Amino acid sequence: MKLRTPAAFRACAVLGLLFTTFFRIDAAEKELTLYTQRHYAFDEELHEMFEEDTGIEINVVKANADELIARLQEEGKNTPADLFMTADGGTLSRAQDADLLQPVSSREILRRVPESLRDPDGHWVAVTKRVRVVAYAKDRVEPEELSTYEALADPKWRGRVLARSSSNIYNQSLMTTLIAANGVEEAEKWAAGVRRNMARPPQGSDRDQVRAVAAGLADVALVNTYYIGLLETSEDRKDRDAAAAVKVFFPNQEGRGAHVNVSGIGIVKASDQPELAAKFIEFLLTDKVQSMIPQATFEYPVVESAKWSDMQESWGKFKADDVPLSKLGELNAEAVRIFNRAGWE
Amino acid sequence: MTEPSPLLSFRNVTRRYRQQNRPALDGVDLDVVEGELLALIGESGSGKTTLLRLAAGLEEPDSGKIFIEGECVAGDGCRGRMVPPEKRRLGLVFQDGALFPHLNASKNVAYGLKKQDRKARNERIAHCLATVGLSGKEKRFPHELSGGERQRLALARAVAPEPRLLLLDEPFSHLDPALRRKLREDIRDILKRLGQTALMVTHDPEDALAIATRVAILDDGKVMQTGTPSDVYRNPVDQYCAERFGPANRVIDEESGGVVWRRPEDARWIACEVADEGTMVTVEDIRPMGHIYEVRVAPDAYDGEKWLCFLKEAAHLSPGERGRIAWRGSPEPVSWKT
Amino acid sequence: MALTGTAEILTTAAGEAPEPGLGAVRRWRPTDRWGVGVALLAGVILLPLVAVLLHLGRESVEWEHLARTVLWGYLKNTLILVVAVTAVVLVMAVPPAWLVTNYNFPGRSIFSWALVLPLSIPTYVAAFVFYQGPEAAIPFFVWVRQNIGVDAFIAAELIVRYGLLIVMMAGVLFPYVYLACRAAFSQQSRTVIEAARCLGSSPWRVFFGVALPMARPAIVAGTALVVMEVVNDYGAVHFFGVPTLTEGIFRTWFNMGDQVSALRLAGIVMLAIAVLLVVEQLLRGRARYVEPEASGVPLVRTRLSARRGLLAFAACLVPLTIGFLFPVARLAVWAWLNLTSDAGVSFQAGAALGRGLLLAVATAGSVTLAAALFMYAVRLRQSATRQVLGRAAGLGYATPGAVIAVGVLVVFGTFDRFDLPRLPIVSGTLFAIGFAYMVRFFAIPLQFARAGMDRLGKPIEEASRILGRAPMATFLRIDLPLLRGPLIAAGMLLFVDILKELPLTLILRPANFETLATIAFSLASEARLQACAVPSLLIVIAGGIGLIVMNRWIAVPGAHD
Repeated sequence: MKLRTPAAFRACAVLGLLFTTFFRIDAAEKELTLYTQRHYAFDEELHEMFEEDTGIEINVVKANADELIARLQEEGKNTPADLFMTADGGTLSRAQDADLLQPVSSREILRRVPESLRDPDGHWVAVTKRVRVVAYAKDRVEPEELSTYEALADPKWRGRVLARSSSNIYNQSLMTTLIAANGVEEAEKWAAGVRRNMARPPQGSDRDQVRAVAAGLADVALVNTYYIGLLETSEDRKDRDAAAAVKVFFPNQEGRGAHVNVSGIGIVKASDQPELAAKFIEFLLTDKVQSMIPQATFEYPVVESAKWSDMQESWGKFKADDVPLSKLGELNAEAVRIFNRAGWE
Repeated sequence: MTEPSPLLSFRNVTRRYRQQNRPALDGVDLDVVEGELLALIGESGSGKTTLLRLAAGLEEPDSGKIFIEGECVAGDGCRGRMVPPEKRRLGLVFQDGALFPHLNASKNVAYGLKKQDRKARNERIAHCLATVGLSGKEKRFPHELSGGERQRLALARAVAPEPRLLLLDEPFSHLDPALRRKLREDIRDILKRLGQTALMVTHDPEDALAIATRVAILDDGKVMQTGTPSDVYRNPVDQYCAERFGPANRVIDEESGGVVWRRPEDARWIACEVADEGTMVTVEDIRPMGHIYEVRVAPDAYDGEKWLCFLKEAAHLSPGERGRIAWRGSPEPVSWKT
Repeated sequence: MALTGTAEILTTAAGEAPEPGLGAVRRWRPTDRWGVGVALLAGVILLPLVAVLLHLGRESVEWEHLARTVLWGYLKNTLILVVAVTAVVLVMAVPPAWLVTNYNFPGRSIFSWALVLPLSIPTYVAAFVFYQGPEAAIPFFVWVRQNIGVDAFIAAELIVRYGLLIVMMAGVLFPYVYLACRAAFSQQSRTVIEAARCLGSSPWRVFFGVALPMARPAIVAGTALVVMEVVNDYGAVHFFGVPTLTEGIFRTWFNMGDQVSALRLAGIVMLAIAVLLVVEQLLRGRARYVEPEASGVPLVRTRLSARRGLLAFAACLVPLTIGFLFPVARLAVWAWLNLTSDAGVSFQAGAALGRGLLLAVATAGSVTLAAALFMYAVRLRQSATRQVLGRAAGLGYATPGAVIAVGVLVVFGTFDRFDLPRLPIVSGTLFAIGFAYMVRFFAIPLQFARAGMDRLGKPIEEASRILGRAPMATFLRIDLPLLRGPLIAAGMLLFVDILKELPLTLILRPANFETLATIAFSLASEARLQACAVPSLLIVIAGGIGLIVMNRWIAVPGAHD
């Protein structure tokens, strides 16, 4: 018996296919597709510069890193992606564990990035460094009162601490370093202590924490340094005032050092143009680009020879925690569990 | 001479709905033959609308077979493949017309017409509208027509494609009595002129008796009686059939000893001493109704039962009076097709 | 009529018997093309949801941990939000709906359509506008801490934040209930209301004793949509630091890598909504709320006295201000600052507007048509299977966007892996996004089509069939033209929803593809509020136009009246 579908269903199917082809973005010769978590306008400028230099066009998909990993997994070998970029090292090593990345062959790349800031085999490399610090109200806190991350759990800070939600990867990666340094039990005690000291339940972005400290809601906040830079150069006057009201303190300078995370990039395993992709990474690691980053996004460069911004110079040199970044990925789920148990939302 | 094969036949058709214990149609056998107007009469819930919908192909029987011109269109005989309504070449006039509100009168009529050249098509539309008396209102939309006009338009639309059989579902029920009577006559004339075979569903005995050539009475999903209007009126087979058409009196037939039903107006009053025909009764109550007298009598030997009689001359009667009631016989059935 | 019944989709899915009038068990007919069509389309739509469920293969690692630690908090927050937002929504939506239908007062005709507009504001945009509230209140908090103490301060902060979040969500979501109520009130039989008046009831008693109970199904249906929006919201609650079950889903899925537990959470969400609706159904008992035939008595609005008119005016103005005027004014100021300052960024907003609009219009149009055809096919035969499929196809509406996105990825990923020659890969194309939108929002046009076809009634359809037109011809020549109004309204609502949609678009979009929503999200996550105001305002304008068009077609239900 002949099985036929009504004309309209057939028409819909045909229309659907037309729709697909119509909107399909065809891959030209020299094109790279980048899946990135970064939402900076500056990144787009970089892509344009790269295109001017090399003629290679960068196509971008922006989404949350974990969602992008899910997408890469599902797209499998048919993925259009060549490069995967995140704002966190742990995510990169998770992508590596999921077998989504391939090692870079370029020696130039491996040479320029310090070993602590990349995967030993070169599955991914850092492009920028981001430091999680304590921002404190200039007028209410003396730097002598501050010492370590751990000290923020001290009852003397009751009602004076601010931090964003533990859903945020920066807090999670900070937590992984605390697990690595002190063990699970201590880490949990710390999380519970800090949560008790918070002036309000976790909410908003790092920027909002700085604004709140400036407004007097609390005295110290856990933030990444570049947010203070972004506030200082904001279009909004109130933001600039907020940035002026706080100072940066690098914790644990006597011990293991301040927690450093990275924004990094890797070549997608399914990419059939790894050489082209490597070119883009090389480009990101040139002195030129590396020296632009501190000016534009206020992140720290990974290349030693790159220049810091004036603001970074004013904060001074600091000692960085050298816990391997791959640890961040490994311990991430544990970190979330600890936050859950400690009641840090 | 062999019987012409019926246009529509139901053979042992049963249809049940899930929520109801009793089937809506229960083993129905029914034929509609060429040229007749069969009226299907029954109380609401008797299954008459279900029967119509099964004929139209809007529903499917659970068992039994339905034939149109000898071809099985639904049921066991066609291996589960029902001929859909659009392939049956039937016409249906709905209770409320079901006119297409977005099409004007002539487009409503045109809707069912086959592809043909424009001239023939327009002629056909004009002809159909003229037949139902809607000439000049071709461009009106349904909501711009009166109730009677709407129903006539529905009729025009249904007959335009020259259906093999026209189905009418209580076509007058939404109309007021005066309009109803008028439209009934109109439709009767139109169908007669077109020689259109039709099956009409109604709960109004007047509709059935006034325009049908044959009547079928449905009760509880079963066909109780079929026959000419006068036949079913004069000789109902049981109380239910009898009461469809107004009051009836239970009479025991003297020759056969069986029960027959007699209409009040067929009663004749016979003074006691005159004759030996009829049944001895006692007059209980007399009400003058203008043109007739409603007389209630208690027949002897009926164990308290009362008869209702319509008598022309009863002024001389008084309660308690004794006399005889005899019954007139029924005339032969008539058909309009001669 | 419009929204009444998306709720039913879930009620039925939760195990209620489908519509009555079904015959005995029907044989499966291999040649029933329409049945095949229904099954195929429903199957295709349900595929992503099923695909996600099939991923349940693994052991759930974190469930016990979640249950012990955060689950209760998620549930509590979700419950607080649902209950409080619903309460505020009812206050915001029902009185204005009653007032604009039955009374004349200054501004009535403007409020009648303007009260729909808050739907054009995405909750995540409203969130960053309203978040200025807690920030502005900081000096007050500081004062409380210095003068009363830390505990009072923490309590004050909590109250202000929850309060603002609740008011804000209610402000942008109340139009769902408003629309449903307005439709219900204007369709209520005049004679019943008049009978109540004649029996000596005051207008208040008429409202509470007769009109309100009669509008109950509409209120429930509208509220169900509000509840689903609240429960599925991701951006606003995150911003305000009120983690709900949906936040839990994301956290568990993406941060802890435990899909199984994440899906269990999603399951709780869907189950809770279903239980709520079923309970409401049971509470209704045997009472009927729908007067089947509305009388033709024309509606006469009572003129209100100056004082009462002012009150009515306020009852309409306050929700409109919270849900629309305030956020839009705020966005307009920011957008103006951004466009006039030298730091003013010119982004691809123009291009994004064009592409986003094209995608939204194309998807809304084709999904609406597909839904109409699907509903038509479902109604073509009374069969239990079809009814259930017809309801199930709307399930995407109760599923978080990101869950659907992952389901679509799984489906298309599998599809692509077959490497069929000459077939373009479908992951990461606009087709994938369009399809995901269809899965997510199919319930909307489906419901409008269902309501429209209910109103149209069966005889019209049957008349066409008897006159020799096959089902498809009947659909094209009778149903489609007659359902133009409800379908346009559905398409417009769909258009607005697609315009606002974020999680699906973020995960599924092809390279270099930006919609206004993704740009706004990008800028908001950089906390560039002024720049972010520009695309946000464009969403509101485009959506607002869509809503006004929708409102026109709802206000004139069916061309045949």
